[in-house]
Amino acid sequence: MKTFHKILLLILLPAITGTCDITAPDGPDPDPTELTPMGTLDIAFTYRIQGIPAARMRKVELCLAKTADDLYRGIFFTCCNVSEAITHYQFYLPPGEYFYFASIICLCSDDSCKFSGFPGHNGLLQDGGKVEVFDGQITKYTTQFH
Amino acid sequence: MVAIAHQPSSGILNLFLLVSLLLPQACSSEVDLYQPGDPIPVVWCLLNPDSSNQYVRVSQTYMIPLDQPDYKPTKEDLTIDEEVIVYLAAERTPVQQEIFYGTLIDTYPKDSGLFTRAANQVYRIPCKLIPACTYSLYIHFLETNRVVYAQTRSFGNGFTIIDPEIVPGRSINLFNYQDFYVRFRPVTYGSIYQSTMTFRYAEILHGIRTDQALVLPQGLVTEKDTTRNFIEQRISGERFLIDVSRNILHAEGIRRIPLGFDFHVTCGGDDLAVKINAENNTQSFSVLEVNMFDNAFGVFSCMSHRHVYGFPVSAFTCDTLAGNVLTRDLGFLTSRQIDSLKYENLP
Repeated sequence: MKTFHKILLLILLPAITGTCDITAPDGPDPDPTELTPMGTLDIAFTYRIQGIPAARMRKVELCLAKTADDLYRGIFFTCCNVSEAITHYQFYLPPGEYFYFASIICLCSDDSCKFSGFPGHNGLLQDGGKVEVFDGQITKYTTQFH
Repeated sequence: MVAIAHQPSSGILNLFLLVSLLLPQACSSEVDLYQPGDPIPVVWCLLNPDSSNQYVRVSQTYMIPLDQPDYKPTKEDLTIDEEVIVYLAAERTPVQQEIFYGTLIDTYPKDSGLFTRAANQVYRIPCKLIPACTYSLYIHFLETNRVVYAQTRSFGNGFTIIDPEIVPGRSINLFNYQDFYVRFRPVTYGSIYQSTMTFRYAEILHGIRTDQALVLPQGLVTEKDTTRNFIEQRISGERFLIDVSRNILHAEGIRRIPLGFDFHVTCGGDDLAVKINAENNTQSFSVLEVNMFDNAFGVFSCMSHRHVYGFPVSAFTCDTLAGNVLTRDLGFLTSRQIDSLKYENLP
């Protein structure tokens, strides 16, 4: 009879303890960025195009893709708000390789824009490239528009 | 009392003094601290450098009777029943003034308040402001021969919005860890600013489309340093999602499409900044009453507005509104769904 009780206890014990949720800690969920190592990507969004006044050129986009394939297909995982008043844009990311995409627009008339390498009025010049982020470091890059 | 006991010769005098002290106690004349006094004029005038007309609103104070705490003022309580001359003087040079006279106009009705039309005494002064010039406002009450007076200085040039700037292809990203900054150039003699962002969206329910707007005013910025290239005001992406979740209600079967953002930046003059900051000062128990007028209460300062309409919403912001834990129950469509809707017959 005692052996039967022991066997019954051994069978029921895991079932009883299994009902208790001992894995859920008290308080809010931890911020995932606190757990993973992070680095800073600093992109200087600059351009200097000959033949077009500065007031007729504007920044349009600055985005990041995870792969070169995503970059060419325009699939980005984040974009920031660009401004003519700001040159440096920072992204706080896990270490690894990324691909940036930057574009500027020409607001002059067709001929002026074409003369300076844009496709025409309201045409875009685009720049993209591979960048790398290291744990706990700031990596700096500058856009290259030709 | 000791003096009376040791000098019996002065007894009559002391008795007289005692009687004279007791006599006034018998009289009873109440002093009413709440006697209604003469009403004091109340004047509101915010000069607008972008308009060729300036407007002055006049009114007067009234007293609530102690025994009628729920007293509602009548039209007569607020209206100045006396002929007045309203005029603005521009000090072009220390010795040269240019005078502009105002005329009483029939105003547009107010949106709300006790008297939407009846007690609106508004004067229009045809005057295009000169930048950085001293202006004096005079209101002459002809019958009682009183003059109400205040002085302020108009804005200098240069109040412009830098961001947002409408550029083809540019859109707003507002989501977690992505904030937006409204930037504007400060103006001389302007020292208080406020930006307001309006989120416009469409609601489609049972095939009927209605356009809605969520107005999100930002905090006041006090800045007197006009040498700065720009002043910036941060609009938090997380805060935006919280505001959307709190102010837009869930409805069964509803579809929502983000349409764009409008921005409105207001600049107030130095005098207005002093008044607003004094009234917002909650550091002490006392209220500092700031008044710009001689012989009246009110405000005389400058105010200017700048607008940017129809700034596009980025695909990221649309997708965040559609999928974020705070806003996913509100029926916002993803950017892909919105693109596919463009090929349908959108109501």
